[in-house]
Amino acid sequence: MKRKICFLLLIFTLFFSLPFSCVINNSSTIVACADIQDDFNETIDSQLENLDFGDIDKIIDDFNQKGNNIFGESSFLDKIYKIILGENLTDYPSIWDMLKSLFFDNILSLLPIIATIIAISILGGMVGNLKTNKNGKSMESIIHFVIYGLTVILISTIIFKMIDITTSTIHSVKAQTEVVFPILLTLLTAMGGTTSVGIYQPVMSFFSSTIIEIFTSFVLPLFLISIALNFISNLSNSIKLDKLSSFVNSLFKWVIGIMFTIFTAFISIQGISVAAVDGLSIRTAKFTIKNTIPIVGSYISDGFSLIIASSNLIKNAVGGAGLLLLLATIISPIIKLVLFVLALKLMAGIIQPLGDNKIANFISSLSKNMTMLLVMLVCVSFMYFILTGLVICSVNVI
Amino acid sequence: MSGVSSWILSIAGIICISVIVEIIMPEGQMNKYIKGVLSFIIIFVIVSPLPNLLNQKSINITTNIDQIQVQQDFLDKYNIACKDAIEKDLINEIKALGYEGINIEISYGFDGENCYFDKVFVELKGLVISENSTHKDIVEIKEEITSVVVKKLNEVEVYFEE
Repeated sequence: MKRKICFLLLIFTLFFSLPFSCVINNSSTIVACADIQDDFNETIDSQLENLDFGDIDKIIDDFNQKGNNIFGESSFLDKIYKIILGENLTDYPSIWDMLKSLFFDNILSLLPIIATIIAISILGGMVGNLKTNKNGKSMESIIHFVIYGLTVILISTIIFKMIDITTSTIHSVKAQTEVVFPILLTLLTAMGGTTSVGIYQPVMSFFSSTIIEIFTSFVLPLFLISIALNFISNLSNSIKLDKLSSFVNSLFKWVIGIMFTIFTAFISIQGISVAAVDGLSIRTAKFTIKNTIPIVGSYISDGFSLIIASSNLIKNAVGGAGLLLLLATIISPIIKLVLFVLALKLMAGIIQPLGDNKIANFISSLSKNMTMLLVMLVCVSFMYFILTGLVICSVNVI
Repeated sequence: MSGVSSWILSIAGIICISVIVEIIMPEGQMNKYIKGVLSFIIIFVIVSPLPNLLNQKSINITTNIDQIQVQQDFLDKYNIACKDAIEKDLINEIKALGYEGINIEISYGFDGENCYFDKVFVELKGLVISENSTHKDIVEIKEEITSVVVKKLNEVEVYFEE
């Protein structure tokens, strides 16, 4: 599971550089004539007016309230203008400060619970070791039962908070797909990339409804079942449900693995092969005279290619802004989950020598379960990322 | 989903009961028999939903896929902007030939999904021939304009209004 996450994160960062290079290179190829520049700005403005950005500004307001300034601007439209003009995308010192404060705030909020649980377990372990009479065994079981119950109650508060954070982030990603993807598809159609649209539209619909549906209504309950079995199986020495837990864990891993592999393989191969087709067909339509583009007839003209070029820029800018928004959405939950997993492992390490063995087992398998949540989140955002990145890099006529 | 949660709750309940019984139970000969019976009950509870699952004829998973729609009004406005741009470009090209002051309007038709240009209306009322071109007949001017238009957008009908 750890290796899978490292692998996923590595591909994540590698892919991140790719679409941004497309976005950043675009603005430098604009013709440097003043007239055309003005015309161009006018066409871009008029096209941006007609696009409908929906609920994204609400999400951005939410971020700004919480002090999350990775996205920066006050509205999606402003960010798109910034990207089109090629200005500096992010304000690095303030983001670094924000990340630092996120880290330290979360560590500080986890510390009290960690300290309490470690204290309780060590106390229980020491009292259990002091058995002096023949009923020592049942005394130990009762003490373990009580301490275990306390630990479970204390940790459950954090677990439910983490589940809450994960589900709300996944829903936020779904809301973003419902705004950004139609705009990208519209711009692709306007530029004449109909084969691409024919492939991306069903995959996007499948992603934003079915895949996210599977995540929230099948995979998340699997995670909850796994946690419940974990709680139960560490209650006593003789009754163990380890193998049932591992069945549920494997089911979880297989479902996510299969969905992810099918999705990525399908969309990458089709997306890459189709992008070339559409780009080529638009370029050849410029030189030969054919009625293949279903929007308007054929052409060779400056005004027309200016319009297509502005659509192209807007498409890439919308994709880039959407990716930045995604990054701003997922960075805080990921940091919280990672810190929680590490804290759990630390606790298990400290409890094991002094306290009861069962509690240490419980906490370390709980940390493995929390990585499931992390995997879910990374998976969903990665799929969204791949789709947007492919749309940005496809059908570039400029 | 309620079926799954009740299954898990019953497993949790039976295990809690067996743990408590194990703690409370005094040492004795009945010990191992009680433990055996309890583990049998636990296995029974874990396996209990399987017969229901196997008897179900079909698993109906209804997922409605909401299509991600293209924003059609943007495309309509975009089409109109494209048409205006092509008209302007045509006027500029004809200006380069030496004829100014004409007005061009393109009309398009739909054939199922595709949008194509079918008629071009050229207004020659304000036609001004610039000085460096030689004097030409109106018919020749019309032919020149028609050839420019047809070279750009083939298969259109050109109508002149004077």
